[in-house]
Amino acid sequence: MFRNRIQKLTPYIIILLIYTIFGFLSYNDFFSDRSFSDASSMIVKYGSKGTAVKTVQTKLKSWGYYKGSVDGVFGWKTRSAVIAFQKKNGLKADGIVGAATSKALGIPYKAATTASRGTVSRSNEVYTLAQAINGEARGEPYIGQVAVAAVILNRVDDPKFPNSIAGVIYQPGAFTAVADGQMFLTPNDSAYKAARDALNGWDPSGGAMYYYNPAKATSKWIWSRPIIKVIGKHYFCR
Amino acid sequence: MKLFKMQLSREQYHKALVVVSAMLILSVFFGYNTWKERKQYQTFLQNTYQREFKEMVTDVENIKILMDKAEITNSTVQSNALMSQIWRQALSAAENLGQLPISHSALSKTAKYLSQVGDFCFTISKQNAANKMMNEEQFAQIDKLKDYSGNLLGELYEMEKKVSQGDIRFGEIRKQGKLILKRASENAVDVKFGKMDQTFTDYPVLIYDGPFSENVIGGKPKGLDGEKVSKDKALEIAKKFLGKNNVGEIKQVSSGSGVIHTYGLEATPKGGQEDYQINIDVTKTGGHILWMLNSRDVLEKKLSNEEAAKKAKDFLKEQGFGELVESYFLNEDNTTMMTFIGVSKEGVLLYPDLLKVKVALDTGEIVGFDSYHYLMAPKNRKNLTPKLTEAQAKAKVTQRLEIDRVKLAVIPLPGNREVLCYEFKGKYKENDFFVYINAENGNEENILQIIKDKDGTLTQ
Repeated sequence: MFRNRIQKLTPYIIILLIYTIFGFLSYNDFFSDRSFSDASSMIVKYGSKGTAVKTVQTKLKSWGYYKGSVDGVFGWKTRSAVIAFQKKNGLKADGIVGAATSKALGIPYKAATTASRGTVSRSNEVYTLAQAINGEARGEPYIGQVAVAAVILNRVDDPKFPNSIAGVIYQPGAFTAVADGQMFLTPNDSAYKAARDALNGWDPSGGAMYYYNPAKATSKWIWSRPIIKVIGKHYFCR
Repeated sequence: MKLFKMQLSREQYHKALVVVSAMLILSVFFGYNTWKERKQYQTFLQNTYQREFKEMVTDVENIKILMDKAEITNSTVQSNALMSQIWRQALSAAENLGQLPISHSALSKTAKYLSQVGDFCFTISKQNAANKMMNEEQFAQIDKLKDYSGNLLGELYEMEKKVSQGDIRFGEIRKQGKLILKRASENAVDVKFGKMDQTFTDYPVLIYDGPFSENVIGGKPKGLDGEKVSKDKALEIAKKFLGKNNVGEIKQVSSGSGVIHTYGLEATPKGGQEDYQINIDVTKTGGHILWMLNSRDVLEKKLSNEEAAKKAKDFLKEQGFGELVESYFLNEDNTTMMTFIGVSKEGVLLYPDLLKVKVALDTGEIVGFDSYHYLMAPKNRKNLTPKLTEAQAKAKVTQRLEIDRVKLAVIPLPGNREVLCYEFKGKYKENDFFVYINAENGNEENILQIIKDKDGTLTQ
């Protein structure tokens, strides 16, 4: 008799279990996705990627410690080159390029950039813009990333849109990367570079106000806009 | 299923029951908490949007009232005060509107109206400060703008009623995403606000000298002359610009029909194995280089800024640009971005003729170039002789500024205009400033602060 009951309950129990697990998983996901990490903490170690790694590799290669290619990926070859360099220079041989090793390599150690008191700095704008580029145009060609940033800046200058960079980026419904939280990922080097080029006035979009990915765009309205230019997967339009 | 077919003793059954009921309670508790939390977020979002909406209604109310008053005032002081109040209210309304969860296409005309009202009133306020009243034309424009604000307000009141009755609910983000409801609720808010936007169907074109004036938006490239250029010719021009020895393959990747029509070209560096491209846009008329960007990562800094400046100058000379002066520089990512401005025969600085050059500090290669402003500036300028003498202009500058040097300069003004000024460079409390005095009527046209740090100089 008990056996019968248990058998009857089994599906419910399984559903409950799955439900609970899912609940916890999504709950955890929700928070772990949004790590607001600092943009420019510059410790380079095994597994790091990007321009900083390239710089380290170039230095080590020119002094003969490193024999691989300058590819911007911190692999075991780079690590052993760093250790060899550290041993030779009396540093702690841990294979991590921190403040001391950076200095010995002759690379200016970029600590987290904070605006000094009492002066105006542009670094906030660069960071916000880089976040938006990273969220919206990761994987696009470099010029496409600059163009996306240029669209944001064109909107700032247009009476139909809010009049600040943050206002334009956070305008509800304006950018999908803001709505789904991808915007909060830490921007990569190329996003920073693109943000700076756009702020310095480069506009590959040709004065565009909108852009869309024809494979994903759902709004009918956007298709009616005159297209200025196609860069990568994005159509830029007026 | 074998597991569940096992015979369970009474004791085992009880144990299982306890575990299951514990899980049940836990998940119910968890579910309830999540639901409650979601409700709280929803309410919070609702409240924020409600506040923004109601603030916007109040702002538009104030704009209407202030414009009513502005029409019957006859003193510049009073008019100035009213105009700056409208400016502030319009700004605030535009800001609140920008934060409402309504798609941009449904509201673009309303947003534009608010920006232009603010901008227009700010222009009049500046004019009032110079002791000039609104002229008849401006009066007529204010009158029209006021009518529109009245209509807008009517629509807003209607909307407010619906909001308070619960017909319009902001921030129902989740529901929009659901498949079943999608058709019915496809931006119900959008549709209602879109109706409001129709208020501005025959909204007039406003021309005045603020940044949002229509004649700025419809700016025409004045410096673009010459013949139509074929694609092959454009490729040749680009190749010459980049240096024949530096580029491998070069091809057209896009066609630009923006403010200036261009061929969008892409070049791969010689060797063809590098992980970067060079993008370059050549204008279809005249075959000018509009901009160039090389996405190479510059890893080392070997050149000083002076050396880089020399490289940039040599490059510009090679490309056939006339007399140019270095204006400011900025160091970023082991590159130096330098801006150059034109100089007339008489030695007058021509700020609208702006060129930008980016030099890589490892090899001295030119990795960026931009001539948009240069091409958009007027070609032949007359009237480069000032009406005021230097001493007369100097009298207009504040005593507090310790003047280092004076030069004549043409500076750009909002509204696609430019004006001949005396440029006074000076110091006040250890900060460097540029003060521009109109060389014709002695108005103080602009003040720029120079911000210097180790990465470069910027003007704000």
